[in-house]
Amino acid sequence: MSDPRTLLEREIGAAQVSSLGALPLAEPRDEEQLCALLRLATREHLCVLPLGFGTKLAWRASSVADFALTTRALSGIVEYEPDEGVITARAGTTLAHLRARTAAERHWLTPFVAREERTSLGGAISAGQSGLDRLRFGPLRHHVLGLRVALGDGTVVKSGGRLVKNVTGYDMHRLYTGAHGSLCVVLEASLRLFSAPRRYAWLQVPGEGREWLEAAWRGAIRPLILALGRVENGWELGVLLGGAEEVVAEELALVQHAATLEGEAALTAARTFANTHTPEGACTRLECLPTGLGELLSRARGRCLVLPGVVTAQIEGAPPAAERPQRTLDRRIKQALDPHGVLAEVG
Amino acid sequence: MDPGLLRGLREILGEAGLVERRNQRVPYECDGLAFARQLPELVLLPRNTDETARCMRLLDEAHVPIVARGAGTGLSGGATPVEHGVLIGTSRMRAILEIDERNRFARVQAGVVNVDLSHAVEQLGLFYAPDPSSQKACTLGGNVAENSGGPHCFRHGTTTRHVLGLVIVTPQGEVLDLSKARAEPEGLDLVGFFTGSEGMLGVATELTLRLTQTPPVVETWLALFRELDEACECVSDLIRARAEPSAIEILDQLTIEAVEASVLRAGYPKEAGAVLLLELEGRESEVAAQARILEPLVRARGAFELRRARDPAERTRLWAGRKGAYGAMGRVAPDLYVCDAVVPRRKLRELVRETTAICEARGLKVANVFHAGDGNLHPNISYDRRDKEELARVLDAGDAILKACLAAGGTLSGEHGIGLEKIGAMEWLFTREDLAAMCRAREAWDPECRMNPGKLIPMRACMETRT
Amino acid sequence: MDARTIIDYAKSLDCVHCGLCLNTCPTYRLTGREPSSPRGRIHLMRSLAEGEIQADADFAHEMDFCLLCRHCESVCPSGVKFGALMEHTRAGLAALEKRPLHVRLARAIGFGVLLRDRGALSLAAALARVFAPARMPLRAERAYQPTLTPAEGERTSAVLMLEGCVMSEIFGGVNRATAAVLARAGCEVRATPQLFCCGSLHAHSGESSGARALAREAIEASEALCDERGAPLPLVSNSAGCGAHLKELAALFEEADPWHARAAALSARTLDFSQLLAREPQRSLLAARMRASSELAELSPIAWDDPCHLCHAQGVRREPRALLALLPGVTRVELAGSEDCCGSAGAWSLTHASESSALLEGKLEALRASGARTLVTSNPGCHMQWDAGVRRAGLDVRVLHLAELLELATRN
Repeated sequence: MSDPRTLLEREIGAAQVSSLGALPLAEPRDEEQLCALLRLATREHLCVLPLGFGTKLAWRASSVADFALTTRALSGIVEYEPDEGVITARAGTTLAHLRARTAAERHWLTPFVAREERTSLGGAISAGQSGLDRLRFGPLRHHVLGLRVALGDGTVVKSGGRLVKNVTGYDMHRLYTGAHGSLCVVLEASLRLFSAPRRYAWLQVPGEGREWLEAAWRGAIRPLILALGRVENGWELGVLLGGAEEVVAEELALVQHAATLEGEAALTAARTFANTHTPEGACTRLECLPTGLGELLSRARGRCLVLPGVVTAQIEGAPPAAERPQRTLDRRIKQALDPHGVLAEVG
Repeated sequence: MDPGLLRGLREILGEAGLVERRNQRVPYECDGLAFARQLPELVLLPRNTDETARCMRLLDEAHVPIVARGAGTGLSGGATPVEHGVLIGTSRMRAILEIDERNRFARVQAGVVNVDLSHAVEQLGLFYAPDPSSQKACTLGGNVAENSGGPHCFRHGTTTRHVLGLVIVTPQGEVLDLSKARAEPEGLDLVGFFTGSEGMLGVATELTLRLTQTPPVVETWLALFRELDEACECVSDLIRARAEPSAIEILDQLTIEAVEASVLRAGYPKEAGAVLLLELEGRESEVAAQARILEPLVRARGAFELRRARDPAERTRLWAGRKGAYGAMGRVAPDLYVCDAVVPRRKLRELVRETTAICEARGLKVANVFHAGDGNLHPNISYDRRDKEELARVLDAGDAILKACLAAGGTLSGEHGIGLEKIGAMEWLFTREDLAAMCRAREAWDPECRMNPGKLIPMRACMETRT
Repeated sequence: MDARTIIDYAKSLDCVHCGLCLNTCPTYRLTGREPSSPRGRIHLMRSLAEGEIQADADFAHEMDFCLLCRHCESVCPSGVKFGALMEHTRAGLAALEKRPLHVRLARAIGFGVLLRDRGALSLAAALARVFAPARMPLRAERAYQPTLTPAEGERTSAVLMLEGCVMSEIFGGVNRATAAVLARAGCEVRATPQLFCCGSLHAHSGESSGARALAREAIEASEALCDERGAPLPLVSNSAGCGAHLKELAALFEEADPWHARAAALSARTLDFSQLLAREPQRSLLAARMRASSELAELSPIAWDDPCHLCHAQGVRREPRALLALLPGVTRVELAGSEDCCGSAGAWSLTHASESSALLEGKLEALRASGARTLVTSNPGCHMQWDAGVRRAGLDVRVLHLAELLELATRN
C-alpha cells in the first residue's frame, strides 16, 4: 500500500498537494477532484480531515487523519440576486469577499467574525461559528438556508435551498452546520442576508458594560455588534450601532458617549476589535444564560471574546468532557452518514 | 391489536388516556388534509414524558408503527394515521412547566396551544413569535414537528429559530433530555435537526422555547390595490428596497369576501382587488424610519388607499381575519385544499398569475391569501371531497402549481411540510442521493422506520438505502 | 328509520376541519379527546350520514356529552351552525331511541311532564328544595308576575316579558326585579300565564315535537298582546337560554310550514332585557335613577360572566357591560375566561356531574383571581351553578342576576 501523499499526488497532481504540519494537505481544484479524493479515501481506508483555511484546527490537526483536504480553491459566488436577499457561494469563498460583495448592495452578512479574509464560508459553517453580531441576528445556523455537501464516499447531496422560507425535507444542513466536517465536506452554501443599516456608529468602552448589555436586552438600543473582549485587568466593550439615521441618533443620545466612529471607520474599528479579542486557532466555547454572564466573566482567562450568551476562549488542552446525553445518537448519525469513517472526528 | 399490549397500555394510561372504540377513533382518521384518511388502531393520550416513554417502549417491543398528533390542524397529512399503527396525541399534555422571565424562555409540554403560551407571558411584556394561522388551536409540539411558520416569521423566523431545547422520546422509548436552553448545541445540532422532521424521529414531549420582547410600537397597515398583480409587484419592491417590516401578507378579493361574510368581520374593504397587510414594529423611531421607506413605495405601485389600524382592537380584528381566512373559505365549498409553495420573491407576480391560470384551466375556484414577504404562496382551491373527479382535478392542479414553482427556482413547502401530501413531488426536487442521505439520518434514530412511516420520504428512496 | 337521515348533512358540510374551535370547547379541553370536540362531533355526524359508522350508544354518548354552549360558533370562520346541527342530531337520536331505558324515562318525565305543566314543575321545585338543597340557590323563590306592571314615570314603551318556567319557579325574585327595572326605564311590562315554557330545553335535548308544541303556544300567546297600533309587543327575556332559543325559533319548522314565518316574526321581536335597557331612552332613564348606596358599595368589585347563550348564541356582549358601567361607586373587574362555559348547561350538570364540577372549578379559579365580591350573570342555569359552586368553595361572593343588581341601584 502506498502512503497517502503518493496516492493524493497520483490522483490530483503533486502541485495540489502540500503540507499541514505533518499531514499531507490536498487542495482540489474543483468538486470533481474533491469527490475523487473522497472516493480514493473510501477505497484506501484513509481518514480525511476537511478544512477551509485551517484556522480553527490547532491541537486537533495531528489527530487521527491520514490527510487534510482544503476547500479553499472552491471559491466564488454561485448566485447573488440582490433583490432576493440570498447569496449562494462555494465553500472556499472568504467571508471578507462575501461581505464586500453584499455590502455593495446594501446587505449585511452574518456572521461578522474575526479575520474574515482567512475565514472560508465552508469553514465557518462547519465550525458553527456565530459572529459578534449574534445578539442581533442569532447564531449562524439559523441563516444557513441550504447546503450542497460531499459525503464521505464522495456522493454529492443537497438539502434546503436558496429561499428564505423552506420546510421541504429534513434540515440536513442543521446537522452539517457545526459538525466540524465529521459528517460531510461543505461544497456550497446559501445564506440569508439582512438589510444593511444606513448609518453606523462604533463605540469602545472600558469595563464590563453591564448597563449596555441591559439596554440592549430591554431593546433600548439594538446594536449590530455587542461584544466584550478581555484586556489587562478586566474587560472592554465594543458596540456597533446601526440603523436608520434617526434611530442611531436616538441611541447615541441615550448612551451619551462622545468618542464614536462613524461610517467605514466604524466598521474598521469593529473588525480590529474582533481581530484583537478572538482567540486564534482552536478555542473552547463556554456558554451561559444571560443572568449567568457575570459569573462566567469571572471565570474567563487569557484571550477571550464574549458575545452575550457565548464565550469563546482559548483554553489549553482538550475541553473537559461534559455530560452529553446525545452522544449515542451523534454516533449513530455519524455511522449512518459516513459508514466507512472516512471523515475525521475532531469534536 | 394484541390484547397483552392493549392491557399494558391501559395500565399506563388508564381509560381516560385511551381511545379504543371505533366510533370514537373515527374523528382521528385525518388531520387538516381531510381527503387522506386512515383509521388508527388505537389512540393514546399520555399526560407526560414518562407515560409517553413507557407506552413507546411497549410499542417498540411489539414493532407497532406510531404517528404523533397535536391538534390535527396540519395541512400536509403529517398526522394522518398509518395502517396498523397507533396515534399518540399530546392533547392532555397542556402544562406550562416554567417561565424564565429574565432569560426569556419557557418550558412547556408539547400539547400547549401556541396562543396560550403568548397569553401566559403577555403580562411580562413577552410573546412567542411564530404565529401560524391556526395558532389558536395548533399545539407547540406540532409546530416543532412541522417547523411551522406564520405571518410574523418574516421578521422573527420560523419555529426552528425559537426552539432552544427539547425532551424527545425516541422510537425505542428512551428519553433524550436536551431541554437545557442552549446558545449553541453540544455536539451535533439534534434539536435543530429534529425541528421540522415531521414526527419521524421521535415524539417531543417537552419544549424549551425562546420568548420575544413585545415591541413598544406596532403599526398595522392596509394598502388597497385594484389588482392582485400590483400588490405582488409592491412586495417585490419592498424586498428590493431592503424594507424590513415584521409581516407582509396579501389577501385577494375572494378571500376578503369570505372573511367579511364570516364571524371574523375584520373590516377588510370589499372594494379592493387585493390588500397588502403590513406590520411595522420596534421603537417609535424605528417604525417611523420604516414607514418612510414603505409609504412612497406602496403609493408608487398604485395603492389607491393606505390605512393604518387605529387601535389594538382593530389590529387584532385584522389579524384574526387574516388567520381565520382558511376557515372562512369554508363558506365557498365543503372542502378546501391549501397549497403551500415558495417562490423567489422577485417573481411573485408571475407565479401568482401562473397558479391562478392553472386552477382556472381546470375549472377550479382559487383564492389567494399568503405570506408574500417570504415568497410563500397559498393558493386555496375550493372543492367537494365527495366529488372524486373534482378532487382529481384539484390534485392535478396542486402538482402543476408545484412544478411551476420549482421551475421558477422555488420549493415544495414553506411551512405546511411534505407529509403525505407532497411525498410524490420530493423526487422532482431531490435526487436519489439527496433522499438517501435523509433516509440514513432518519434510520440513525429509527432503524425500523416505525415513526410516521410513509411520510416525507418516498418509499423507493428508503428502500434503496437498505440494499 | 334510516339512521343516516338524522344528520343535517348539508349543514355539516360547512366544516372545513380547520380546528379553530378545539381550544374553545369545554369537553375537549377537559378530556383532550377529538370525538369530544366540535370538529370531532361534526366528523362523527358526517361519518354517520355517509354510512361509515352506526348511530350506536357511543355515538349517542358523544352527542349528549356536548354542553351546547356554542362557544365554537363564536370562533368558527366557516360559519358552521353547530347548535342547530347538534339539536337536529339529538332530535334524530331521540326518534331512534338509541339511549338507555333509564335515560329515556328521565327524559320523558322531564320534558313530557315537568316542562309542560306549571303545576308539576312547581311541585318538583318544591321537592327539590327539600331533597336537594345544595343544588338550589339560597334565595330560591316562586313568584308569578302580574299581567301588567305600569311604567314608573313617563311611559315610553310597552313590552311583553317572558316569565319562563324555571325562572318563575326558582327565580321569582329575579323576574320581579326585571319587571321593576323595566318599569323604571319607562316600560310598561305585560305578562301572561299563557306564555310558560319556551321549549328551549326540549330543543337542546332533541325533544323536537315537545319544542314545537311549546313554540306554537308561545307564538300564539305573544301574538295576542299588541300595542296601540295592533303590532305584537316586543318580547323581552331575562334568561339567556330562553332568549337564544326564541331568537332561532323558526328552525323548528319547515319553511313551507306557516308556523315558520310566525316563528321568525317572534324571533325578530325578541330581545334580551339588557339589549332593551341599553337603548335610548331606557338607558338614560335608568341612569338618571342610579344612586350610590352602602348596599351597592358592599357588592363591589363586581365581575360579569357572559352566559354562553347570551354571548355565543345571541352575540350579546356589550350591552350588559354597558349597563354595569352605569352603577355608581362600583368597581368592575374582568373575569378571565368569562366566555367559557360554567358547566351548567341545563340538565347537563345533573347528567354529567363530575365533568360539570371540573368545568366549574376552572371558573371558580378565575373568580378567585379576579377578586370580585359579586358575580353577575343572567341565565338561571348559570345562576344555580355559580351559586352552588360559590357555596361549596366557601367563597365570600354573592351571585346576582344583572336585573337584581340594576334594581338595587335604581331603588329609591
